[in-house]
Amino acid sequence: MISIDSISKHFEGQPAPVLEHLSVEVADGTSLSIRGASGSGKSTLLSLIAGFDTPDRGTITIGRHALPFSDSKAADNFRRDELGVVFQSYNLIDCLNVWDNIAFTSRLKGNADDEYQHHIMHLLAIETLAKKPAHQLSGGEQQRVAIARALVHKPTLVLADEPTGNLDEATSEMVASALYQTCASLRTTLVVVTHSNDVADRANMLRWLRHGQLSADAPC
Amino acid sequence: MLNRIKLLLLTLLAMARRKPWEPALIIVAVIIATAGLSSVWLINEGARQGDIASDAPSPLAGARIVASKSTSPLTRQDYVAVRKQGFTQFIATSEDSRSLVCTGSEISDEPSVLRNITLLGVDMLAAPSLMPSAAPPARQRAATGMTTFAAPGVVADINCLTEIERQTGDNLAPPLPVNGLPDNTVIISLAGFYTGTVTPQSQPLTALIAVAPISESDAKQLKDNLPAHLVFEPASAIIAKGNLSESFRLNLWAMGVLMGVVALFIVINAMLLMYRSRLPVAIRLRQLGVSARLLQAALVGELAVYCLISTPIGVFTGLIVTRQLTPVLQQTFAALFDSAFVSPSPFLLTTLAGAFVIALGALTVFSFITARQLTGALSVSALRKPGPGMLTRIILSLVAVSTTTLLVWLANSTLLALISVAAVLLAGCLLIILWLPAITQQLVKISPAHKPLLRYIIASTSALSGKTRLAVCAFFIALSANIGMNVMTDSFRQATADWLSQRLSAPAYLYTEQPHTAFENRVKGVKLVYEGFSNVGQISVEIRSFPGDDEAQQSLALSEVINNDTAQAWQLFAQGKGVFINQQLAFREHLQAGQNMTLGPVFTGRERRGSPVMPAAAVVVAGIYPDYGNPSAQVMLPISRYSPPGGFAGVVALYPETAGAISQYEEMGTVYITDDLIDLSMQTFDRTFVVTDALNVATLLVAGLSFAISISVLMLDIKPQLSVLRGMGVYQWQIKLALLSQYMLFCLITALLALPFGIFLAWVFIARVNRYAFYWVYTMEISIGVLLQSVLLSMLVVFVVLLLPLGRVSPKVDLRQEAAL
Repeated sequence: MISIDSISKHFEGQPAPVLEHLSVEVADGTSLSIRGASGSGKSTLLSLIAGFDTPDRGTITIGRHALPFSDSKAADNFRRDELGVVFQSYNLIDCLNVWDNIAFTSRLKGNADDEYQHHIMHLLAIETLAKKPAHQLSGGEQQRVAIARALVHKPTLVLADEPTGNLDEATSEMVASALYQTCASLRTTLVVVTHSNDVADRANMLRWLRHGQLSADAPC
Repeated sequence: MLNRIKLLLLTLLAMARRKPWEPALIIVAVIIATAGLSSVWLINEGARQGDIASDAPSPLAGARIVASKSTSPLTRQDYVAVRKQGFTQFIATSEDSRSLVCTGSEISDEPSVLRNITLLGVDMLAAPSLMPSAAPPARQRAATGMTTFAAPGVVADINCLTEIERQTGDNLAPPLPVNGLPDNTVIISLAGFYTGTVTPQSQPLTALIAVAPISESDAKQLKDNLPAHLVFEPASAIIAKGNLSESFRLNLWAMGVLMGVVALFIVINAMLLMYRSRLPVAIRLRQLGVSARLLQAALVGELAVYCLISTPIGVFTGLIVTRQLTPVLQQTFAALFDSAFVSPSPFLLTTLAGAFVIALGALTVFSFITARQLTGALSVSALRKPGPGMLTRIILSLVAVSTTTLLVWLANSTLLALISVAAVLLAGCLLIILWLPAITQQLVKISPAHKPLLRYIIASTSALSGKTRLAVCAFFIALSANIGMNVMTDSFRQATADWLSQRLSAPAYLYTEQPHTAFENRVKGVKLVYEGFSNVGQISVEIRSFPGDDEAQQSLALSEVINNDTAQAWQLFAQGKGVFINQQLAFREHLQAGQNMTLGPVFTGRERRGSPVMPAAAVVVAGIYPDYGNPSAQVMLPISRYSPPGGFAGVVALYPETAGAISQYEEMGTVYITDDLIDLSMQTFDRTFVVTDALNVATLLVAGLSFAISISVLMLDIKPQLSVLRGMGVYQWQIKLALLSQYMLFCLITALLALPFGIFLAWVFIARVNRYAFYWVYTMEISIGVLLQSVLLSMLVVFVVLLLPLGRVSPKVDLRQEAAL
């Protein structure tokens, strides 16, 4: 379970806190979608959950881990073994090909499984790109490779920042379906930040981020 | 038009402000390159100017008037008479060969006898400009004794900190260094010379020496008017040269050129790195209608401003570094080479001009490379053209290799030999540019898949290889030259050691000032060495006597003999029909064993004085011998034919029947046990190359520094990737290790490419440059230790340079890092 209790985050130079007394709980194996205006703090919230940054106040608990971690090694181990992240700007490793990019996390964790990787790539329709260098991919292809990389090592938590932002409607549908289905089959908790209602509506829990807080009510 | 230029300049300024590392990179690269360049050039110039000063004719090497017999010495009245005749260029001198004692040196406070040092009294009142009027340094002022002068090497050898004591009980201050003074001599004014028990009667004048040239007519007039007991001797036919060898000078020059090339590559590399970083914005500007010409003019203008700012800073930094090192360099040069190192400030403008030429050259190359690219730069994909295909690369490589081989093969002069050295280095650079990305791509293919970080390191190295080729080239040039020079020096060392072991076959040698007659009753167990002077054609040659017995035959290795018959060669030599010549003479005069040559009249000693002891004669070259380190041509005559009393060189080979028998010779001079002599010679050899080694390492350091900086800058591009790796759970130490491994992998690949080129370069140095510049060759020795030393040193340089930036790699993970353009 992810338990976020009254966290606040204020960046220097900004008039108001980006997150203020934000609380939410997400059960294991379920999904949460977060929508909100640009600059409302969605990516900041994902950053805090991933342990990339720390809140000014409040606590975050992910399963047995209380954030922030007491030492950097524990944080690294958590990210390596239990976390999958789909970055907003994909952040593929340019110098590696598609196969190596996707396999990176599972090889790092030590649970590389070629058959499973083929399966994920098939779900995302990128199996033909395996040998292609990452820097030669289109935006949509990079996005799907980034999703495959976040899933292939079977993490317990996936954080996805705009996972379909660069995809056409049909591909977006296919990718969202693969993402939700895979997480469900692995009993992986999924937190998705998105502007797409189609993607967001598939989640078990729908939330909107406004004025630094999560709300179950859609904005007018 | 003006509006467009203004808009463009504002855009470039905004880019510089957004990525300040870009101008910083250019400025730092130019400062490093020009500082290295000016340091190496200034050190070279200091050495050269010092050498010129050393090479200037000694003020005491002019014509002289001496007594013809010891029974009727030169007197004060003779001196007055000569000067009254109008020959005021002659000054009186007197020698005192009695031992001097140093009362304390840096090594010991115990008094030590200064062997073989002569005290020469000179009438300085008659020639006040002879010695410098500068205030003596503190240590001399502090001493209570009288002021003395000596050559810089003698000052270093004496190394006396306190006072020098004469046997008469008088004290002298330690000598001040003055270029051009004779070896093994301390100069003092005549007033200081004649003190206490030393009087003109007990120690008469030795010679009247002309401190200014004397015309032939004046010389004739003087000779006619001299009293019978005096003899006029013309100025020495040979001007004593400084001990800084031609080999060393060429090394310094080569180091200067090498640093220039390395500096050029460093600056071009920095410019291209900035250009690559700016390219995406340049494409957008082109898409918005900015012409390629205007864009390029703005970029070149911006770079020119950076160069204008940083070049003088770099040159002044180099000057400051050199100035800081000057005392050390002066001491080193004086101690090692018996030469002066002068502070080379007048060279500043030339250095500045040279540095600007390098910057201008880099700008020109930059303009040439970017001109075509910017014209077509309307989209990123248009610039992503694949490199030359495999066939093109193979053809270009073959052309480069064959052209270089041809150049090396055809090199038949020093200039062509040096051009072929440059060709080898440039061919190596071309091969790096063509093959480095391909090699690294192959490495990616063979890297283990189950080691994701290792695979990433190799793949990232491969991705960076295309962008860092010029920096790799600069590093490659410095490293190849380092390997080449080290292998050459090591081979030279080995050849010299073997040659010394063979030539110095006697168990001990006596260096004496006794006349040859002192050995008349000691014929058994000694072999006297005689020296002389002659010419072959226009070339001056040294003459040496050499015995022909079995022992002597074993000690002289001949590289070429008449009819390939060593026995015949020695037979001809023993009969006086044939002579042996050194490689230096053979290469200069294109002589081979079996050929005839005309040996000019032979004079005794080292100078053309008096009548020849042997007339000119045609002789057969019976054999040719290696004579490493000797800048002169030399002919060996059998001792049976050449042993004139005046030609005794003061060196005696000792073959004592018992080890204890050596001690009986100690009273006659300085006895050197051969093993000690070889050790001493090899120590001198090693020290001779200390400065070139240091310059070489300096060049390597500059290239390594620039290499590491350019890689560090490129790493800024992959900073988002590092964030991703951290985001995926890679430890911080693994990130640092990965970065370090990438740098070191680059360094290792460059080193592996530099190894064959460095070895080939060593062969070119030995078989071409040495052959035509110094007229000697020797066998190339490839020592694994020497190669490893060069490679490990280069890697150590990069490793040390990298420690600081690696320590500052931020552990923070930024999820919103934008991917590199």
